[in-house]
Amino acid sequence: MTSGEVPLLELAGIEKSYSGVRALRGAHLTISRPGTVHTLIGQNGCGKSSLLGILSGQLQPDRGQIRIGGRPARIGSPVEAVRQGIAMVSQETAVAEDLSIAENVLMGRLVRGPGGIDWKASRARAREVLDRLGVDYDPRFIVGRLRPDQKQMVEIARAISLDAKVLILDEPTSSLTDDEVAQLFAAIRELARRGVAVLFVSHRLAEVFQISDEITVMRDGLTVCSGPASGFTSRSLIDAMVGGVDLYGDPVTAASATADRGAAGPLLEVRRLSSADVVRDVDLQLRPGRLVGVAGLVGSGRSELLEAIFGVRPVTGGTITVDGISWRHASPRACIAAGIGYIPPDRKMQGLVLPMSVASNLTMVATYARSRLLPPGGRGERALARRLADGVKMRAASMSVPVRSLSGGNQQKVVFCKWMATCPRVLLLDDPTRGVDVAAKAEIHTQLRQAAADGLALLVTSSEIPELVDLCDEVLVMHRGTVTHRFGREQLSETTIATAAAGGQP
Amino acid sequence: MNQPLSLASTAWSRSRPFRPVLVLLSGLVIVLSLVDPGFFTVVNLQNIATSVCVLWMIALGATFVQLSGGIDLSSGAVAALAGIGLAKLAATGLPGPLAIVAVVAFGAAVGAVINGIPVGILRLNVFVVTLASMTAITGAVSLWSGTESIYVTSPAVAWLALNTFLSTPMPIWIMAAAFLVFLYVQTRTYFGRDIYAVGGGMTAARLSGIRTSRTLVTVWAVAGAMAALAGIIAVGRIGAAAPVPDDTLPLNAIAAILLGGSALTGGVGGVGGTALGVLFIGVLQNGLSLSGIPTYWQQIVTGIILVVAVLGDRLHGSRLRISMRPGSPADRGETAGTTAGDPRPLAEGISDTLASARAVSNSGPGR
Repeated sequence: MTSGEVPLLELAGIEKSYSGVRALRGAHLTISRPGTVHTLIGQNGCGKSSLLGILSGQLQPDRGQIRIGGRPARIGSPVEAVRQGIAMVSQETAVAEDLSIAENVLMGRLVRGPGGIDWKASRARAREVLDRLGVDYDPRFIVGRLRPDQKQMVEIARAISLDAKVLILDEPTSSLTDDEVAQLFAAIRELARRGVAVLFVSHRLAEVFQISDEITVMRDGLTVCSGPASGFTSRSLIDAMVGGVDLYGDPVTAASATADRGAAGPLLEVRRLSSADVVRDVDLQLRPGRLVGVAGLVGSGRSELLEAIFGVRPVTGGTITVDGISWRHASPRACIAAGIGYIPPDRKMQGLVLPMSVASNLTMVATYARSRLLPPGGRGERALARRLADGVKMRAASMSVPVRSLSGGNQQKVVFCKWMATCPRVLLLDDPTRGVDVAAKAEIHTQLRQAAADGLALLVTSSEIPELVDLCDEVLVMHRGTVTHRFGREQLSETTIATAAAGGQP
Repeated sequence: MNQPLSLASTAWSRSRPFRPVLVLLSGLVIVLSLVDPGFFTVVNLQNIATSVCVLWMIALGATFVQLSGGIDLSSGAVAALAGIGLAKLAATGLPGPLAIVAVVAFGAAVGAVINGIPVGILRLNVFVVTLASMTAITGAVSLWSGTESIYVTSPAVAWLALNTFLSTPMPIWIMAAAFLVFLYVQTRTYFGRDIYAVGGGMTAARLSGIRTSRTLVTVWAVAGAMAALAGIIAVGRIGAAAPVPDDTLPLNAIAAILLGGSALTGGVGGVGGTALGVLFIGVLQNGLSLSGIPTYWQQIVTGIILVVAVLGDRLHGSRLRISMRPGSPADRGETAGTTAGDPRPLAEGISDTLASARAVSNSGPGR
């Protein structure tokens, strides 16, 4: 607390591009002194992850300065970051499930004695670190049997056992329940009391105000504003995050094309659908020509909702009604037969068979019901593949090259086209624009609008709220497995959806 | 094409992954023809073909297994089991042709039940499943045979293995017929395409409506039937059923498949390359014995070439990946792990694996 004037950690004018795409355009971040809890907040794609990567030594900035305790520093690798007192606990827990708590906390640094590892001393050291967090775990316990929040605590213990001065917690609460969050916050406060500065990342506004001393807001690769938490209200915070600018064109023109529909009966109706504890009591109706969006944070259950409808995830309660007939068991084959398509979020694992040719991937769904003894790839099939590829201006050397060799945007087009080949009536799209460039994104938007105009019923999730506002006739907001809000076309705005998704009251 | 490197990259092409073994085999045949006048004769070439007949049959079935993302360690044991079964059936006085058909069907059933259901439906680890079935079946073979060879005098079985047609040994006709059937199924049926889809992207195939479990069980049934057929031919050649499996068979089959350019991870390759790989092993063995070199060298040379082949594949593969520039920040995470200048620490790669493992375990009801 003595070095009050010189900030503990300072990042200034940080720039970072990935092959031409500028993720950071001069971002800055200042943590003033030890013992503060500093929150970094911003929408998906604002450059947060890149900034954290740079701070923890995983990425190198193209330009900009890092100063630690006022002195210029270079963080060349994660090891160097630790040496400078910066430790990071990433969003996904990285623990060795089969080892004990002591081994995880002191990974690679177990106390050595004359006869190899001194287990007694190691356990004592681990316990001492756990005490600093205010938790009472047996260091001999196997980590694999812990709850997610306890695993996270073990990771935090590992980070602080490295004598970190700055501890980065990247969305530590995303997979925790309220009680678990309360425990985590108690530990964070305990650390802050002992002089550790905590850089906290979260999407949940309530939590941000509960724990933060300082807040930095990022948008579009830039730091928008920064200051003490008391200077923000949840409204001003969201305005800073969203920017109050419509990045996605004029929504009114988009709406007019689909405004007159919705009179027809629902093609697919979901009533009180539940799947374990990740999806709870969801109601929704999909009608021809309507685009329904699902907003929500990662872990809110939006992906799981689509998986449950498509029969990939077991349905534990509720009904799915297609054409007025209720289904007992959904399965991908039954869905395809009923004219329901599903575009999964991970195109490389779930959307495409990467080593197979573009043509085989394009015709895979269309030929799912053919006799397996028939010869594939006839003239009709080749013509279909050609027509689909031309329809979306796909850039591929030939139809027979492996789909792996295409660019991300073109791969996504293959995923989209392989479902359009079946002439579906309902299309479920989970984050269809994830990881594609701006041009490909615009083309996918055009395709979605065209599909709706052709009378398809669409259900779209996205991590980008502006996209949903721009595209959808109705947006459902999910939070912790349930639909908390529904917004009609005229009620859609980035601010309200962002607030609702973060668990606030818009 | 005008750079020295591009020749290699053409030879290691992904769409023609069997080219390296074709080059190796041609080179070996040319050298042996020049060195030994006794090599390139009809009789010797027929000898080579019949000597690899059993391996050929097993490798064809095992190729489908490997294309589907699996690996078969149990084929030798299934072949031995089929041999003993044939001997026992023939001893009951059942007509030879009927006994042969029954044993092939039995092989298919063994493959489907013992390997196919655990791998395809219960989704157990394929290596563990076939290691277990290999061990168990080996024991069953000893028990059933009483650890003694059983002589088989069935004329139908002898005809299959020793007779000639158009002055060509019967096994060569069988090999050719089996190869053509496999090539047809692989390239000219939806089932063949399903095998590639399941091996190249199981989740994507299932989400596209392909019956992945059924495909896998069928693949294992086919592998079992081929192992049984191989076992029958082996019995015919020596006139008796051996009480112990030939341990080298499954491993030589896998070596031939890998030499033929099929990927260990599935989805890439085919029976064409496997045929060349088997022939390479046979020609090498034959050439060495003609030259009076101990044939154990065949195993050493095969081992070395396997590693070189995989290394060549790796170098080619990594060059491919590096040339695919990550398109956007979001894409970066997916490709960064494979490029040379990987900015991510090792632990993060592990955390991805852990996260996916957790996602799997969490998908069940109740945490």
